[in-house]
Amino acid sequence: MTFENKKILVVEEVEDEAGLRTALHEKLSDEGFSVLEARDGEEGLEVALRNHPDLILLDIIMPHTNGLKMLKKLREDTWGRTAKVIILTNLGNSGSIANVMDSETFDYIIKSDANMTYIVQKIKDKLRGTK
Amino acid sequence: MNRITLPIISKKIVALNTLQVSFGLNGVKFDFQAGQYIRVVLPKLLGTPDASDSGRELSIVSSPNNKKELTVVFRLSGSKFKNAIALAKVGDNVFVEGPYGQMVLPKNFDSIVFVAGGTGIAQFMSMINYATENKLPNKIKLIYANKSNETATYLPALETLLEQNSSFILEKIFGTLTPEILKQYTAQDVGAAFYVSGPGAMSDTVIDTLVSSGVSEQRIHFEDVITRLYPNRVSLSSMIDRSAEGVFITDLHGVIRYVNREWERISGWASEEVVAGKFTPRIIRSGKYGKEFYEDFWTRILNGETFHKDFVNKRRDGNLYSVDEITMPLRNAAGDIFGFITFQRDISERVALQEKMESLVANRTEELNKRIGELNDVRVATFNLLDDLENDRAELSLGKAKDEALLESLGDGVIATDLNGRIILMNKAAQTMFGWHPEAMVGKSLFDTVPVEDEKGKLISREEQPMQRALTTTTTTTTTGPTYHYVRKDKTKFPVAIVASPVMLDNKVVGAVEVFRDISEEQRVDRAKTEFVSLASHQLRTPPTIIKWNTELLKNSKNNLDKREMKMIDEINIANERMIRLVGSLLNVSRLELGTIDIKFQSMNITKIVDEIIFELTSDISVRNIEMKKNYSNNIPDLTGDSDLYSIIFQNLITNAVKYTPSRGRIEVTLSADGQNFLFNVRDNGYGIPKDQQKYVFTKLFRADNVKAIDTDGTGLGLYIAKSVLDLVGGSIRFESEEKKGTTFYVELPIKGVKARGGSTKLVTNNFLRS
Repeated sequence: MTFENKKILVVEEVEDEAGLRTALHEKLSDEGFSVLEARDGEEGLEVALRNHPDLILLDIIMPHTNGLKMLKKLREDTWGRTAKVIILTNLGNSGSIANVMDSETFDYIIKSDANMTYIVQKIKDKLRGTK
Repeated sequence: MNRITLPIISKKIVALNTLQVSFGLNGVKFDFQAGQYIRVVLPKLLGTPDASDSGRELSIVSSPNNKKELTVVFRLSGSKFKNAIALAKVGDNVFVEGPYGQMVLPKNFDSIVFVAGGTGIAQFMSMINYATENKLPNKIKLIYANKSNETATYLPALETLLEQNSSFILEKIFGTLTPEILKQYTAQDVGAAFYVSGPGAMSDTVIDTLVSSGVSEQRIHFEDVITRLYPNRVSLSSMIDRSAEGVFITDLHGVIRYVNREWERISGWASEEVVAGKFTPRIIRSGKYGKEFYEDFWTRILNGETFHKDFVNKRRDGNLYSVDEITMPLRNAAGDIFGFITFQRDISERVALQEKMESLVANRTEELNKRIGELNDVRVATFNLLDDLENDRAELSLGKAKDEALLESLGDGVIATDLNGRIILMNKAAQTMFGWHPEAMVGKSLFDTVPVEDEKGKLISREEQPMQRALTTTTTTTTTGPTYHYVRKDKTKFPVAIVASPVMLDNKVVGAVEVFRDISEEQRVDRAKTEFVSLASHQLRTPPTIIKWNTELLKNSKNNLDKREMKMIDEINIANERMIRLVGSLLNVSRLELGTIDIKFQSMNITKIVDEIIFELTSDISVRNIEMKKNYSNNIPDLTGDSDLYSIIFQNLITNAVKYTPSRGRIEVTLSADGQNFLFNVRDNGYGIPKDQQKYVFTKLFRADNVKAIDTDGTGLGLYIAKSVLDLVGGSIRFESEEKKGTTFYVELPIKGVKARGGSTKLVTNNFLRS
């Protein structure tokens, strides 16, 4: 399976974390993904519903997040209901996440645990539907 | 008593106011001796009741030889008796009792002097008649005194007797019989037997005169008043004779003239020997009283005093005896003392008893004194004890004051209750915390006054409260968690840490005491601290992640970095990973301590998890040539629980084993199950934990001295986290270790796991080879 031109939307809440966003963007581009970016949940929802990306990487800061609000609204959309989402967080807070998601769509990566290769692997797995 | 009924056969006035009455014997046998008398009792018919007053003692005038009649004589005095008998007719019956009287004619005698006054002549008439009738040869002299010629009776009869009896001499005296006249008429008769009969005063004078003239008292016979009045009783002399008291009579010079039987008994002297010899009471002197005493004694009794004293006397056999003695003078009609009579009551027994009593009293007194002495000792001891107690009390009061001050100054609340949970004491801190004044609380039930709630505001039942447990199960409860909240008077709440202990007395619970502390500030600080750590950890995690990702990009870039550059990037990565681990561990600790860990409940293949952890350590193991042996039992069931949490445990233990085992060491990981529990052991032959530090192994930030230098990478948090997680999921951990020989950790986990728990946070799993 080739991932060329697969559209990945990266919703990055943390504006001042350019070092992460840039690195991830570069990595994904290197891997041949087409990368879309949004600065917060509101913009992310808009871009997602407009462009219907193949996968959304939702980078949120727990517990103060509106990223989850975006996710909730996304699931109300016909397309969005089945959209593939991976949550990136720097801290596990599964309770809050579980509150807004059913277990099938519940998939997240703790950033510091993972290198980008791992994240890409996860994305590819998700796109293949194996995980 | 001899009592007969006799008729009056004649009555005759024989002198002025003097009546002679004869009773006919008429065949009735009535024996008497000359000189005796009878008692005449009048029947009711004759006008007087048949009582003691109806009888009179009357001398018999007639001779015992006269068997036909019994004749008496008396002066009429106006008494009912005498009037009645005077008025009685011839033929009337009277009762006659008797005969009485000791003054009878002696059987053997040389000469007799009768001294008679008035009707006293009667009994002598009987005697003289009898003597004359029987022609007794003995010389008889009658001195007959009368106030006047008119009152004299039997003068003709006496004249006749004078003619018939040549041995009879009659001396008639009209007027008072003075001692001088008597002496004159009796001057020649000292050796005769004297009989005296007449009015009392006359008799006394006669007897006194005779005695003073040297006539032996033994030879003077008279009828004393008592005998005369009560003839049916014993005579006075016989009474004295038979008296229970010893009696002796002396003359003026103290010569003993008479002793009675009792005196004979108590003194041991016989009457004959004492009275015959010229003995004085010296014979019974014990020698206990001095000359002055006897002089005083004599002075007093000669002065007419009665002397009364307890005496100790000496018996004839030399033994001493005690008497209660009264000595009094005897006086004649003229009032002159002519002798002394002494009554002695034998009080030997009384004295013996008294001595016995005195000895008893003495003994008892001695005992009592001894006892008093002992009691005194006890008293002194008691006072000493009281002193001690007083000192103790003073010390106690001081101690109590100190205790109270201490109690009041304590920052912690203190409450003591009795067995029923009623408050008996609370200190100021408790008062401040509750908002209740002690007066409003003391005496009330603690459980009613202060509600206890959990952190969710649910009431905790009395049975679950530490104080109730202390009272009922005698256990001391120390609460540490945030469970207990006390409700103030104003209904607000505050969290408390409580230590409740029973108060025991003689192994019985008598109450409980609770020390508690408002921990809201601690909790706030704790929470703030934890949140700070959490936030700080969060903020600390992003920069290493940036480093991690960018070095990754750099490594994979197409810029063809040379080997040196690549090595530099690896070094950056290694340090960065270490930083990530450290931050992760700190984060875990803060979350564990915050107690908000989320526990999932899912099935897992534990073997796979352990394998994964070992796999992640492959490079470390191979670099150091460590032999890793997997010893997995094949019956291990899937565990139910939180795989992430379990991973943290195994990861920490296996990583430690690898870290603290030197090159070419050996590690064995054993997995097994025993039905209830999953068992995980990891054994190494590494550095081991020093014995003295083993107890600190599970404490936060502990690192053993022997490995600090070997591995600078350790955080001292791994085992603390592992233990905390095991506590959380209901597992257990223990270890055996010896320095330089190695360590084995044993972990048990419930196969069925613990219930899932909703929590807000997750722990960070480190070391997954995802970098």
